[in-house]
Amino acid sequence: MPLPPGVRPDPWPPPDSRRRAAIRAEIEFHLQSRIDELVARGWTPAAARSEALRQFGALEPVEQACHLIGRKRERRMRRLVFWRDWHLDLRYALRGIRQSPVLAVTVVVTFALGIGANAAVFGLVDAVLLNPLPFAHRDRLVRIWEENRREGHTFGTREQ
Amino acid sequence: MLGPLHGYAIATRIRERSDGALLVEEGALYPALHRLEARGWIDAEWGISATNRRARYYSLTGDGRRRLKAETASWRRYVSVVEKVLAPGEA
Repeated sequence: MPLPPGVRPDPWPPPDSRRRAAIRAEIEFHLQSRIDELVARGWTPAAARSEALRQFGALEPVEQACHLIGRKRERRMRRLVFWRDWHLDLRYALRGIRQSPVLAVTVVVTFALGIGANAAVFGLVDAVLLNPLPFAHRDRLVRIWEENRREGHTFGTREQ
Repeated sequence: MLGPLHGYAIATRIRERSDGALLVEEGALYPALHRLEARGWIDAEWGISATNRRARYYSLTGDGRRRLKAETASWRRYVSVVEKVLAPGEA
């Protein structure tokens, strides 16, 4: 459902300050209602306010408790939305695969070949270049060759 | 069943019906309401009160109604069992 231009959706989850403001507004309504009632019975506004506060009890713990309950609830809802979206994405993807199976097979084969070629080359490089030789005391391996300087022959392996 | 009520109306009702024995501090009602809302047993909506102020109105959800029924039955059972245990001269 598109919003009219220039209108942004409310941020979700609402920032802490907004949730706290809503809780304070709810409590304030309660206190105001009690004050109205007491004033109607003949209390002075100041006395009515302190009596309303007394009947309500401590404000801060109530506000904090409501705040934490609301935040926990929003986190749970966010998790639910995340998994629902994930599920929808998955179904969307599966529908796409079913609608164009040739493309899907092409993609799968391309990936398979790519991954396979990579794995093969890496396996080779790993065995030849990266892994140490499978001998005991391999730091003491030596290479031997002989040279006939007059004839110019070389026997045994030697870098050219 | 009751229509939507704001916290103040709920507090007043509880206080009147219990002769002030329940809900000594009215503030304690609000975390309870928010918890019920988080559990999905009540819904909350902002509305305008009879005194023309913005207030948060609570109403039972279908789940909440079922839960209330179950909890009420369980509470009555509990009370009647305790009553039997406490009844003098029958054990």
